[in-house]
Amino acid sequence: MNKKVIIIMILALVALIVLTLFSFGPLSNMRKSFSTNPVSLQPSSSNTLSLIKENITLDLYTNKDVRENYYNIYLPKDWQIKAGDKAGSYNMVFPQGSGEIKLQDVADNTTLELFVLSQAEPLLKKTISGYVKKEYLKTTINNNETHEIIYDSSEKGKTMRTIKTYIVGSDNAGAITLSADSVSFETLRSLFMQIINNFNWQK
Amino acid sequence: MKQIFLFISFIVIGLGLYLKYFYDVPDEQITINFFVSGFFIIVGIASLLINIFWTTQVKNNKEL
Repeated sequence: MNKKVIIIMILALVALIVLTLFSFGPLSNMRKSFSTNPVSLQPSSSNTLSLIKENITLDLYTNKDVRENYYNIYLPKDWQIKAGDKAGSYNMVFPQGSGEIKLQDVADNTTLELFVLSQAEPLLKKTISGYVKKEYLKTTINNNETHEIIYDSSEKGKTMRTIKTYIVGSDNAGAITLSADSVSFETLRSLFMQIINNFNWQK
Repeated sequence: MKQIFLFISFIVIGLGLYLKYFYDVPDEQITINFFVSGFFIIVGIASLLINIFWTTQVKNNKEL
């Protein structure tokens, strides 16, 4: 063995140790934070949507975290918006409730409809306390097949109503969850529908 | 023998690149995919370089 071979072996060993630390060790959180593109959290100043009836202005967010799944979404200016745990996700908080937008992995050997009916909905039933399904709709948003579930749940003694929407995408599906207390839900419903209907995959 | 080793190195690198960029990874397997694909790429590149430099060493020995 010459010196160069020994150096390569040492470098490979160091690289494997770093890889292990990034995968399972203390550096794994750093890897996850790299996956959020800072651009995704910057609303576009030139592109806004005004809902005159509700007196609300929506900012355009362009999420560029995951290749193949770049998307545009309009979100109200006065909502608190943060990056979620995973790439391509947002967490929102507003006075009457909360919301989440994320990319949903759907296996290649299934369809979104099958996924929603056989995996997503049973999981909601199992994990959410007081789950009661109110509506299930299959629609289209910007030529993308969409599945919407509206359900009630109980949270700290309050009844919450949630609209969960799955939108077909090229690799992952988009999943928008918007929750509000059941009293506010009906007044917020048109705003929620505006947010959902303006979701757009970026080509 | 040298060619077989070189061929295997390319296969390992190719497998690593496939897992990293083309394989449809389920959400719960992202971490393991990151590790396995990185492992194959590092080991593949290292074995490729070792193969190159090892050959040089043998030649030098023959010359001696």
